[in-house]
Amino acid sequence: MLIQLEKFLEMASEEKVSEVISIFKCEKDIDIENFIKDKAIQFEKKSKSRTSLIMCEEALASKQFKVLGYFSVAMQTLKIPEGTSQSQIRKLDGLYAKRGGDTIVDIPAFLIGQLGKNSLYKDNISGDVILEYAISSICKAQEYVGGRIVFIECQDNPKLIDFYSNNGFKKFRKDPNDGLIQMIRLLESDDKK
Amino acid sequence: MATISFDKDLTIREPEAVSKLIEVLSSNEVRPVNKKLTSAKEMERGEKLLKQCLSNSKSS
Repeated sequence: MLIQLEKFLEMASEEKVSEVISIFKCEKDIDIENFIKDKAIQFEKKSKSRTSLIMCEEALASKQFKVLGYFSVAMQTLKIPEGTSQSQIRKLDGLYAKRGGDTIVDIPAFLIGQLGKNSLYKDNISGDVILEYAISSICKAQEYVGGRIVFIECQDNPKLIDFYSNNGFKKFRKDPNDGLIQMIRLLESDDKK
Repeated sequence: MATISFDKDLTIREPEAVSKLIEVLSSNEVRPVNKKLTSAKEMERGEKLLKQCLSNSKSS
């Protein structure tokens, strides 16, 4: 069951929310654990990202909090390098090569900046389900603001790359600065329905 | 996943990466999405359960 962190903060004290998320563990990637514990609330308050918690419905019904997983989404822009041809920019934008008379230099994307499951309940949910929740949330935003791309970065780990590939993401680049693999997934648009 | 992704400069410098990006964007490979997971009804149900749970929690 999906609970938006923003709603949780409206309904409970920050202390209570912190207490609930403080039991989140991610043995595979400490960055995922640190983000939810140390940054998610701060990012939420500044609207820098939107975090959603996937909670165990049965536990909630019996007055317990069990965070099975979470994801955080935000807007990002992919910058197009100088020298890209007008026809290429048009393909990247989907319609135009220029915006207000100037050549388009970036394209917007929905970023899934964090996504992970709680190691304490690792058998209770799969990564596929968490990702499905994240994409479903993004589609909701897309209904109001448009957008064509979901973007993620992950470690150069075959298991992770396979996980995202199996869920419709395509690898297009490895960042030479930090070694992170960059992948995108195309969202449904009206002309592709 | 990486927290750094929220703030980093995502400039695609390599022409081959631009080509790959165009290839993906020009494709028709769009996966269906389960929009019911985040439907208004589902979100409302979640909030209701959370509220009930919090009402029994002393420190909320």
